Amino acid sequence: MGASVGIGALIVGTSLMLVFALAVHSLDSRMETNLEIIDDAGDPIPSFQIDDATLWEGAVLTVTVATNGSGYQDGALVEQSGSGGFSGTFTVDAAGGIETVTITNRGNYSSPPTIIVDTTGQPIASSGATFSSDIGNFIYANITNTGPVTIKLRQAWLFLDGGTSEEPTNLGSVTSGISTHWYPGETIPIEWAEDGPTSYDRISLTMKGLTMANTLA
Amino acid sequence: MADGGATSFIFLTTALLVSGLVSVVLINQWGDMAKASEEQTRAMEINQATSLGFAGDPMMVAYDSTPNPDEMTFYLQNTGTTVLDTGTLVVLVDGITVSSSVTTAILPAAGTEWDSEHLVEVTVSSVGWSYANGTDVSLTVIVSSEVTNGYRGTDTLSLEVRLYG
Repeated sequence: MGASVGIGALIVGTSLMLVFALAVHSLDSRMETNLEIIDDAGDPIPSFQIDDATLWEGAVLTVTVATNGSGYQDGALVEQSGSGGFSGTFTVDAAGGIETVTITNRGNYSSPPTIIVDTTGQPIASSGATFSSDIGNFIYANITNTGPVTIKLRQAWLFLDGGTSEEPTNLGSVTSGISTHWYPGETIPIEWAEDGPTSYDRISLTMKGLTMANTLA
Repeated sequence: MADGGATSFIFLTTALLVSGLVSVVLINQWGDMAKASEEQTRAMEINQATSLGFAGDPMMVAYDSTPNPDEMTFYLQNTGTTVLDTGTLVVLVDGITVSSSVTTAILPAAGTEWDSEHLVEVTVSSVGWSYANGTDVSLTVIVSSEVTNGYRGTDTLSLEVRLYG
């Protein structure tokens, strides 16, 4: 009789221990999830600001070599009348023909400017190079990561007028640096060519559901 | 004495059977409870990882009254870690559902999945709209994630926006 009760109690006791172990496992699992949720809620929130933003509606977007010319040395490009602020540089090939052009200052014009070679320092025999240019909207802006979170550039998006007349652009495609991340305290210059027909009033930057907006100067 | 031995044997067998049955019932019951709890936890994790954010300028949400019916276009960002399902989008404007006329496009266009590096352009239309430029409307969007580990998470976004166009 005593033995039967003892064995029965042993079986029930073992079962209860198993149940207890299962219960502890479940509670641990639930607790872990809850802690993860609380931990996520405590993650720092990204913070950023648009320091300044300027729209130049007649910026020189491209300069194309129409005629290479000959006898040139690597040098500078200017706008024919010297106004508007455009400047650039060029390199030449073996024959002294102009090969590549780099814009260093886009300037601001109401119509495509006439671009010429700055003759200062060029050989007398150099001649014949001509260029064509194209103007359009160009946005210069500076943005600063003011929070404690490092932001992936591919997760941030720029909008002009809320994307009403132009598709949003990924931040990674308009930053001149090679970095893929935007670190706390870092200021990034934005250079965004937008050859659309319309003008814009506001620029906004969205990241992780947060939006900052500025009026374009 | 022989009767006493038989009785003891019957008691022993009965006690073993009863305790065995009780053990099986207890373990099974708790096993079910543990499984249900684990599933609930997993669903909670997916739901927690599902998050939706408004992208763009809430002061300038495109509104076009040229077509019939009028169209509203805005952008949404996946701010969670699960992939969202554009097919589950439900949009309410001023509390009225317009889910029957929702079209979506993923940006950049090369993308196929709505993850945290892609935006979704949402265009909704309704014959009942006759909003003027500058009108503030209440926008609510509900979205679910793709099925992850057998579960879908859901998130809701509500905000006031100003129509522009």
